Amino acid sequence: MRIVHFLNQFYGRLGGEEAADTPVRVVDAPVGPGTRLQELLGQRADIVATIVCGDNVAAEEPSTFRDAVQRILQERLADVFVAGPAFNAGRYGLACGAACCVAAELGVPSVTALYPENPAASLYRRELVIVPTTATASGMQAALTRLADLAVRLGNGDALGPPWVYGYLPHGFRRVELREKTAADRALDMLAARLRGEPFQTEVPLPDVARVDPAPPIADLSTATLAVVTTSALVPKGNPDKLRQSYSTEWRSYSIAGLERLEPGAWESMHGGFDTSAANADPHQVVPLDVLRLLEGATFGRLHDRYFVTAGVGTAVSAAQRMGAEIAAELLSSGAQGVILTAT
Amino acid sequence: MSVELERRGLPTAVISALPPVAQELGANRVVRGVKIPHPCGDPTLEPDADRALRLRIVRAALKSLTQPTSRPTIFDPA
Repeated sequence: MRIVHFLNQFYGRLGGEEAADTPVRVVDAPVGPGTRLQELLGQRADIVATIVCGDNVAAEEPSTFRDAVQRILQERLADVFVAGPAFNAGRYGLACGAACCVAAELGVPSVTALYPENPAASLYRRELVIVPTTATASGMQAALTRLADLAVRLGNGDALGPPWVYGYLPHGFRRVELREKTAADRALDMLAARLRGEPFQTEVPLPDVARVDPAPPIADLSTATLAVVTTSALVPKGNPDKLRQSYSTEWRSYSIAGLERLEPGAWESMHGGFDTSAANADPHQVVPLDVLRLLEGATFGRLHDRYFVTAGVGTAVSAAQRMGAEIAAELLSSGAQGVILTAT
Repeated sequence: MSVELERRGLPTAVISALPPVAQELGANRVVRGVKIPHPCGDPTLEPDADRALRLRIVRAALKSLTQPTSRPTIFDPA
């Protein structure tokens, strides 16, 4: 089995940033981490060529880079293409992804290795086989071991099993397969394993939401300006700005300056995901303005003049993240120091 | 959304009827609400009792904003 390997100038032993303008070159042997990769491959495959390219060239002259990779893969009769590991290196990661796409166009299976938060990982994870790595080269050995095994498997034309077995980043789709046990049996097996404290593998992984460190607490609540954000879709009666009922991509904000209460009949919830009758009969069930006014000036400083609203129904995580960022920018520029977010 | 607000330095109390879900999704300050259609009260109660319940929930939310936390935490109304 013939493997062509791709490295940037640093791992290709040409130098650091000062060598980042090095054009594509080929060495007919393993180089740098390729040496260890060859050891791990053993008799199973041979690294017949190593492509080395400066980070700037791959990034700034993408078509030159792609053409060169294509030519070399064809000339060297590659059975498999391996790129990286690029860890969390930005330009290098993107070059690995682009090069693997060139291989795919030629029908040459490919595998690369990236830190999952490398921008190239989110860009290419649906189409490429990407081994997750540490952020830095400390995880080189583990990454090369996975790369070697996956390269051989791909080169043999063997089908890839699920990502949690074969150790690549999930492509984000499910493959249909026949199982001996019904879904009900499998679910009960998982439940039993969980109750026994044994490991089990979910078939429906929840979206992996990035954690953030908690914001520091408010030191002096009595002087703090707080704002209300709500996903309850409570808007002025008639929904003047046409907030969508579901699959939200947008938020609105409305003035509550000078209002002591939210009168029923003046406001309504447009939420498409729950029975809104309680919220419509008394909007304070979703936006507690009445008690906030009671506590304003005593327990906390003052309430922001506007509240912020969207409909939290079937909202994509990415849309929620963007809306959260936009509302945060608005709040920070208007002096808010904390938020009460009512979620329905 | 709360994650993005907290990320930018705004402590955010999420009043939710599904606290474990909010916690699982990374909300750092979660306050136990009543029910999904009415997280901030209980319309089956008498108006005064409903308002008293709402006051307890909002007080818990305000308190959570003053508490240091190191991970997603659920705050129960007193």
